[in-house]
Amino acid sequence: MSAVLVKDLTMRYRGHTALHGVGLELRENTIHGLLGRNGAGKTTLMRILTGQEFESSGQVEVFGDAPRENDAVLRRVCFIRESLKYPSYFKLREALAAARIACDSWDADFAARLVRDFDLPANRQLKKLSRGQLSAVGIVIGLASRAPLTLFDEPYLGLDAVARQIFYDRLLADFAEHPRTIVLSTHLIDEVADLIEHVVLMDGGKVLIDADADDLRGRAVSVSGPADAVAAYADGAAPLHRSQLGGHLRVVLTQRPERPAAGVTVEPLSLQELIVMTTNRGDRT
Amino acid sequence: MSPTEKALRIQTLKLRQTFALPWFSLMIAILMVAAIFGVAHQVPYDKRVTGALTAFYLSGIGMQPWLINQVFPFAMALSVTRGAFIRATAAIIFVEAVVAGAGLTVLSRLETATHGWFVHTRLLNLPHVHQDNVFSQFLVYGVPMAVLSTTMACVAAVFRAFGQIGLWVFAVATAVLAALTIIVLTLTHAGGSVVHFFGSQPMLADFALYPLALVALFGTGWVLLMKRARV
Repeated sequence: MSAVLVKDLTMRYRGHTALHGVGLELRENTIHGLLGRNGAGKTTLMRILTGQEFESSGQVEVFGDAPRENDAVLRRVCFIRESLKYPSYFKLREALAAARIACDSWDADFAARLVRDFDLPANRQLKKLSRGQLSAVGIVIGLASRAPLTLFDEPYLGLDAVARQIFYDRLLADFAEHPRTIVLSTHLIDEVADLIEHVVLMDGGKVLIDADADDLRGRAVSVSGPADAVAAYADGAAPLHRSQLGGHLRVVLTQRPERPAAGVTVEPLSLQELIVMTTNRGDRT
Repeated sequence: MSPTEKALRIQTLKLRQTFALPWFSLMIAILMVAAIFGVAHQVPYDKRVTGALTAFYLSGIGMQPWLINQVFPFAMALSVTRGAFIRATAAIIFVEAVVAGAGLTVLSRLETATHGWFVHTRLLNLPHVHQDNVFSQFLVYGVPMAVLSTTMACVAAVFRAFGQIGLWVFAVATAVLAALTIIVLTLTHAGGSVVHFFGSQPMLADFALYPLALVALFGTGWVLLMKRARV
């Protein structure tokens, strides 16, 4: 069953179209990577999925029903944003108390462990925490909510590498024990490449890629070598990227050609390279 | 737990911000006034009237903006619906008005019983709000609290929906509307009649009946804006 089903979704602001006929389906109990450049429409999509924004047209279903003002749907959803503002005067324990009240699947012990892992001060007002500590608060709430659909939108702004690794480790470990649908929007693609099972790449308000991460990893290749040999090997395939230096040519192909690679070097493309090149097609030479 | 109950519990996590601040202000005012008039014996009894009641009401006006602009976005991240949040805030406004009405009525009677907090001062039992009937007194104290809370909720919702510019437009539009009303009343020579009308009404109507129209007006505006609020 799908956790999220979106058909022909369009979102217009004053004179600006943030989403153009977006269609996608997110499987349940899967970690999805929602990737794309700034302004691609990722946050808008997540805001609509969580009922925080109203779509202009199209169909949105979360767990089989429209999320807008729908408590039966929204009580199964938790959305942690990079820009999430906490009430001034709230301390960490009050923010966690609010999350415990709101989230049906809240795990207080897990939250306490995460607070210790991130070394967060429970009795300090949240407005006095650093940017990274505030991000950690969001991560604690998002993970301990155990919401059947948890969305993280750039959740680790200001977090150091160690804390980010703690997040990845705890996410994976808890996901293994309590499978749920997680949508992770991030620019740190290399860091999450091994974490995500499904990739949705957005650019300019449209979905460019909607595929399983394993398929993507093996599918796109970089072909380099003498220009003639590379051209012959890549013949008929539209390159995602092409760069030439003298007689040496390098092309990036979204599909590995089925012919034998003679005199050329074929290397699988990392997820980050694929995303960068797919969203950077204006630079194609 | 129902959605409204969840929203209510989140909104009341900081009781000091939601309920207690006006009462702290009143308590401090009573102590200060008692201290001042305890030593300032030369002030005649009939001049010992203070603005403590105004301070009480004004101390509560920050609560709605706090709820709507800070707690609301956080509650929505935790997937509380707008409807649940609105119902919870409405419940808080109602309870706050009831508690204000009841609490101030009790304190005003205490003020009378203690001869003005032992220093012959009038903080609550002011001449223009005094009612002999306890229920009338309760309404005269409670309804203004509801008016202030719904007005501030509406103002906060304007800010939530349209930002600082929207708030400025709202303030200017309100001022223009007030000016136009005064101009029309002056040109039609109806100003005196309006003043006479409200002046001739029972105090209970002026303080507890007509202000309910403001509660309905600003309350409707607040609900409509919050129903469409984006986070």
